Amino acid sequence: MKNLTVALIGGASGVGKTTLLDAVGLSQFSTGTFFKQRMSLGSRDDVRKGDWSQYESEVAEDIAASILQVFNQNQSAIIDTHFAAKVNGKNYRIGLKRSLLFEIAKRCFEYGDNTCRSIYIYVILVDCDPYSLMDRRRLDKRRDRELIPSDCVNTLRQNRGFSSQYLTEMIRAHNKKQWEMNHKVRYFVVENKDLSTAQNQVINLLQQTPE
Amino acid sequence: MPPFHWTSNVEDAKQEQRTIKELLSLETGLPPSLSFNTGLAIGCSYEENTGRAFAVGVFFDETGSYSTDKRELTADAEVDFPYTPGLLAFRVGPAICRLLDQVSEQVDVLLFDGQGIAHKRGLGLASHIGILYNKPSIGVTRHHLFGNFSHPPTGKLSSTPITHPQTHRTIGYALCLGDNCEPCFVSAGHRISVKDSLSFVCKIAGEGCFPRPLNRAHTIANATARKFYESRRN
Repeated sequence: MKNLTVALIGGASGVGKTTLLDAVGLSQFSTGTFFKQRMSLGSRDDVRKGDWSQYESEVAEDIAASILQVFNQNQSAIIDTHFAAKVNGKNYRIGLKRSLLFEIAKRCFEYGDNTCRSIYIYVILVDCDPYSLMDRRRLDKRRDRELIPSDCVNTLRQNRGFSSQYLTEMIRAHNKKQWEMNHKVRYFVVENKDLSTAQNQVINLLQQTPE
Repeated sequence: MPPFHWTSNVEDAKQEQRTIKELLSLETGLPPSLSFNTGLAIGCSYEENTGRAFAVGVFFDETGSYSTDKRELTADAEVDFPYTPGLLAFRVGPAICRLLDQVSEQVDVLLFDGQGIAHKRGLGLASHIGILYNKPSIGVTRHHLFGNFSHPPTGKLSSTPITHPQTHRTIGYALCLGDNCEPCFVSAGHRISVKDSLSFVCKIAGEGCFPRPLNRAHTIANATARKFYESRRN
């Protein structure tokens, strides 16, 4: 039976996650889109300007349901997310509450045990240097991103920090009980200096899941 | 190209400086001979009555001569930021960025009529804008703002270090550009060492008591601001 992968791919807004995933050519879903739908907003970029925290539980449910739906099609689930996000356009906090992350991971492992498949959860931080982030935010005309130079420094730092909390929750769910299948949790950093190198890195990472 | 966001809050501005200072590099991003093709001297002015900032860019070459095939550039922006020592970038930055957005790709080094790291929070105008465009940048002023120094001896290109009051590290130089000149104050902005910033200014300064291209940019900026005010008044 084929093993299944969940890749939580996160990083600062503008770091190039969506472009990277589009280039890799994998089907994916975005937590920003779930929030946008739940909050009835016109754009993903409006999510961080509002108080998205009250929609977290519903979005976590959406994410878990989407992962299991993709698993049912025998596919890997790729989630485009932010490990850190601003609430009301001000302070940063973790992209989803730790308890919700734990629940998502637990449900994935339960699915694996129920279908006799090993689940590989990858937490992948897409990172770059602040100058590249500043350039990308300036040059990307498709999106409405803030051009506060200090924010480019802060958002990278916050995403690095909170990515480890995502990892912690995945590991906590993994160690919660003696699972029947050989589930695994891994953490990777992809430096998005140039698209093709980063693209190959992501493809190689996702191919690491053994059959 | 979307513009950089500039806060109008003084405390936020100070925090912004503290944060982006992390990106500051004093490693020279020019060849060891400090050679370059195109430099841009930027003078700026703030017209108090109309709340408008003006920036003027003058292209110069390795000898400090203005480029004859490129005309001066001007840009202006409406800015609502109170006069606060150490926060000049937040008053004139929007106009400078409007100017640099047009030409930054063509320029190898930036010269500012403002401070570099010889600044209370280590991030004067030259450092701030240098970081935004990640270009080698140097600040030169007529007035001393921060740090300890002794008056340089009389004589062309004589200099004395400006040291940080707490760390005692050299953060710039007081430099006499002529026998009868009052010193000007040179400090590294970004992607240039403190020592190289002095050598660079000596190299391009020309005759006169203030680096020639910068003097021109500053004069035009002041005249433009004055003209704008008069046109509004009439």
